[in-house]
Amino acid sequence: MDPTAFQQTFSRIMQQMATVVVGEEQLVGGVLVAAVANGHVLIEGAPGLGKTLLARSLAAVSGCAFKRIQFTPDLMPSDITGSSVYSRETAKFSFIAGPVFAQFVLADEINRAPAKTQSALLEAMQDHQVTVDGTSRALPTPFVVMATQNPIESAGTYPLPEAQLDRFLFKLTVGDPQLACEQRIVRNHADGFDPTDLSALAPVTSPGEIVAMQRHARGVRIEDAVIAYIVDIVRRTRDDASIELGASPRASIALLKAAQVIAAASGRGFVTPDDVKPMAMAVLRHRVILHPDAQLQGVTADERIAEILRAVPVPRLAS
Amino acid sequence: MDVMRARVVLRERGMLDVADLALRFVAAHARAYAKLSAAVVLPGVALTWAAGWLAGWWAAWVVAVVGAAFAGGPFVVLASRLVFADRARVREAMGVAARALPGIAVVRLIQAVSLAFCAPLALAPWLGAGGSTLFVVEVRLLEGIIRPSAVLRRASGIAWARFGTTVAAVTALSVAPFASAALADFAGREVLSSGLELSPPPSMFDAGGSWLGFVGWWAAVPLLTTARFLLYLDFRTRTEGWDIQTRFAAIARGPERAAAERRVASWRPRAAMLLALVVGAAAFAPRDAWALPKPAQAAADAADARSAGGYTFCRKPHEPLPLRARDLCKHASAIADCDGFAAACARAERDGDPEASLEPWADRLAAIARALATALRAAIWALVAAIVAAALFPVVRAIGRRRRASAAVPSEPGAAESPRPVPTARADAATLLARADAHARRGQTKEAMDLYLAASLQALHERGAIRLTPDLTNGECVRACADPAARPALAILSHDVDGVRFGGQPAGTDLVDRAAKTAASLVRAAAALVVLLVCAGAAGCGGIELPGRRAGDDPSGNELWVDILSRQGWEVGRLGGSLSSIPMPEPGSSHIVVVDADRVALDDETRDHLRAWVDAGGTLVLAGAPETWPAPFRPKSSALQGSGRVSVRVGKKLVFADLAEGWTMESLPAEASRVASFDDGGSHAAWMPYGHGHALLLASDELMTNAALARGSNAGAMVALFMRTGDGALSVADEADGTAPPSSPFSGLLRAGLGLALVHATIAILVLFAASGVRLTRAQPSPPPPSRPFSDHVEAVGALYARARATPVALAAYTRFVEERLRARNPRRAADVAALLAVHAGLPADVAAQLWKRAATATTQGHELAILEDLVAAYSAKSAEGT
Repeated sequence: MDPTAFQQTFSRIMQQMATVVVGEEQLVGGVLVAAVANGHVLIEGAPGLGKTLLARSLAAVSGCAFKRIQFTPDLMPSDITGSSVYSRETAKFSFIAGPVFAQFVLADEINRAPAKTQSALLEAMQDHQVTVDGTSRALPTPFVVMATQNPIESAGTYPLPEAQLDRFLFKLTVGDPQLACEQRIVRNHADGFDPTDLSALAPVTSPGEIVAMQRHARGVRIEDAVIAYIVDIVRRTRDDASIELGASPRASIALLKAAQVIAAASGRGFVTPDDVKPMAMAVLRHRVILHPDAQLQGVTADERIAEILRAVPVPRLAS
Repeated sequence: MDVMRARVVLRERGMLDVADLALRFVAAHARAYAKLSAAVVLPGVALTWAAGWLAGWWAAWVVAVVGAAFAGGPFVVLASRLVFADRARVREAMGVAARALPGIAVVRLIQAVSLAFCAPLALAPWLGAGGSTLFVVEVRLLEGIIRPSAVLRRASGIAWARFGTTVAAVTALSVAPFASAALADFAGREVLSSGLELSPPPSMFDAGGSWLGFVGWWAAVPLLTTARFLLYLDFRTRTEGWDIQTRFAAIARGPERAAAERRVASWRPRAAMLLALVVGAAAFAPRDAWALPKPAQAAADAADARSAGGYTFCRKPHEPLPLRARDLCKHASAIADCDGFAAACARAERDGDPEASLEPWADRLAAIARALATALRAAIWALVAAIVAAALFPVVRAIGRRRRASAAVPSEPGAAESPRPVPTARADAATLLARADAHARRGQTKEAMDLYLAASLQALHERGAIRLTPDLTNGECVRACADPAARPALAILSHDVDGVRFGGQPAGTDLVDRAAKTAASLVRAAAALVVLLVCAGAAGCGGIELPGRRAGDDPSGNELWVDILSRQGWEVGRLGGSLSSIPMPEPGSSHIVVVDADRVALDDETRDHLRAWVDAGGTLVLAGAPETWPAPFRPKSSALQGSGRVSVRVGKKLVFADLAEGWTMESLPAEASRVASFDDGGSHAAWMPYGHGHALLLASDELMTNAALARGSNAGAMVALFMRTGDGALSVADEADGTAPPSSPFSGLLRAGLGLALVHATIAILVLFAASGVRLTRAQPSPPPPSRPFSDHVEAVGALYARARATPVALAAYTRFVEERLRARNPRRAADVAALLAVHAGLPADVAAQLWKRAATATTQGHELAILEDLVAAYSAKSAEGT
């Protein structure tokens, strides 16, 4: 895939998504970047803000298979991965694939399931495969997990373990739409839009093209100075007094991947600091753990990361 | 006496200022003071010493006090003369004081009685009496008031106009002679004993008097009298206005005039005889100061002046002709060798109606002025906004810093702080551009590209288009660029540089050239802006001289008029000050002020002052539009008669002037007499006495213009008119002299239209105060006192109880305290406090039990403190650290 085709496809998907998901270009762009970067997205927002619609729409416009898993306290790992079921007719165990065997998986309210069930996704997210009964089964490509969680309700929820959080490329937050956007949403519904029926949403790309985009993005050039900039940002999260646990090197890799996609979406074959900086917040905010005192004082991870970004000098002059 | 050359600036002065001025005044006139002191002070000293030698020191004190009261008179007169006159005669001062001696004796007697009467009562009545009689000598000597009651009333009125200063002055002037005597006694004895190794006289405090002390007493008389006189002058200046110096002059002249009149009366027969001789001699004697003007000679003077001076109004007048000059075009054809003026007039006439032709210009100028006013207003608002922003910035930054500080967790000792970018010195855009060019020339294109971008960003930073910080990416710089014209070029440059820097693209010649051009345009745009600002500033400050008119090239100018009058013997000069503040004329002075109302706009205050000035004896020449003249001189109306001939009578002769625009005054004031009239009888000029002065009224200023004076006998007519004013110096008012100076800086700002700016400045000050001042005035939290050990606490609070004589209370309180602490420290909550104390203090159990028993059951008065001390010693022996 050449850079122009990448840019055009990316733009086409964005435009098609904008017809359904109104006023959330940044969120849609983040999810798309994560998908092209071969990563997963954790979306945090209150109910009713279109998170499920976003996932289903993206699957629809990209022609990918979509499955939704509603996480509940009694959800079992096998309910996600699938399990071997004994067949009386064949007298054999046959594997019944779970909903994770889809290209776009929506893990709705992921923090409502216990840690054991959440961990069922770990292998799938990291290695793009599922091992059941000692047999590893590859997941379809592209494979993107879009998990959602509600930041308000804490009763009956299980916070995601750090290892799980680290598997998400981005943590995106979705807020209330602006007035004009909300009016447009309501107008669309008044005009007969049905969010459960996205048959009218024609795919503008294909899973194969998404995979091709992933390959192209991985080949985007990145200079050492930009890598140093990325690492500098990530390392500073480990030195910050308000952060108890900083981001891991996986965060640096995630930032690199995201920057490569952004550069490719801009039609460039190289990464600049301009591609890195906007992605840093989404990459890092769920990978840092604030000091308890800082949490008590109302400090947020976003504030600390913004401060770190202000402190890191951008590579500008070679000499 | 010339009030304009007064040696003392009459302005408001404080007490210390007066004292300082008195010292300098006496030093400046040391010779006169020495002469007078020799005549007054030395006899006084001798008389005092003689009295002391003959009758004892008490008599010497009486002589000193009484003598000093009268000896001040001559010094007051001398100071009053020296303030307003070039020279003062000691004999005259003594004579004036001697003639007023009876009157002074009476008022001094009244003063002494009142002071003696008030002295036993209290300080306030004494000060009141002293204040009321503080200036009796000055009033008697300088204001010519004879009746004692009137003197006292007047002196009291002057003094109590300023209560505080009067009280201070009475105190100071009462103490100062004694202080001077004591100082002289002390210093003199020291000089005699230590310096000259002579036997000093006994101290005045021991002997009741000392000739050294009386020398000091008398030596202070000239200085203190002068200080009191200057204080009197200050009081009158403050209470009666600035014209006091002229009134003083009149007062001082009174006796001289009376004496002169007496001399004239006694010598009248002989004077009559001498008069004929004097008149005859005057006819033949050459006048050295002011030769009688010769109207017949004026035309020749005008011609000479034109040929000698740089008058180009005829040959090459300033064009376009001013409106006033166009009114004078009728003179052009009547003046010899005035082709240039005539041609300019013809061109002006060909261009149409002057006012109509000027209308578009006027409109454009008005539009420009409006635009400038709008821009200025916007600039003021921007300035105010900048001030407010500058004031609020520290507040916002402090709030943000506080929030961040509260958000940040206190780091462990030795924990790594969040690294901050180290600010580095940043080269200016031109330097970076030069470095980039150098790299490009050396073929280091990649570095050159980087530096071109850096130079561009720095230039935009210096212009304020972006705020360059180390954390900004190139894209953010482009998006944040506030200069829309520079943004596209910067975006292209940033794209090119990023391609080379991060994309590995080759930095070809084309790319480098394009970057160089872009960077140069951005950098030099900043330089051009700076140059533009500098030029604008220089133009505003007069740094660039724009072509304008030169002296003598304007037909409506008055340079020739000044020249002719000077040649005729007048002393002509600029007024050099506001018409509203010219000092009132002295009687008999010959100061003439010329005001061309067409050039000098008069405000109401200035008109009133001019009227008063003429009333006081000044001579005023008023020319131009009569509607703007002060009311008493204003005719009922004036009318344009057209060109015509005016005749001015000089003796039995008539001098004629041809005017291009004949203005006539109708219904002149009753006192005015016509001095120049048209052939049909219309009045063009009038001479009007008003009060003690006169006014020469000219219906137009045409006879003061270059063009009119260059024609025929007009110069002679002008000279004939001005002969009415006499031989005084002519002071010509300028355009700016017609407006009264502002009474205060605020009124000046308001008059200049900067009232709104004043409000803005006030708001800015308030905002600044709110931003910084409040923070400074806010009470700073005092650091908490360091925790004191228990023994200190006991000592402090025990001392309190001891002062309150409540030692049983103190013992009971600390016993309870110790019990609670011991129980709290015991994990098993043991009930035996004495045992706990024994363990805690390391005491034997029986000693601790006995101590605790004494503490808990102490009822005997007087032993509580001892028990308390023992308890404290036992408890704090080990528990101080934990308390």
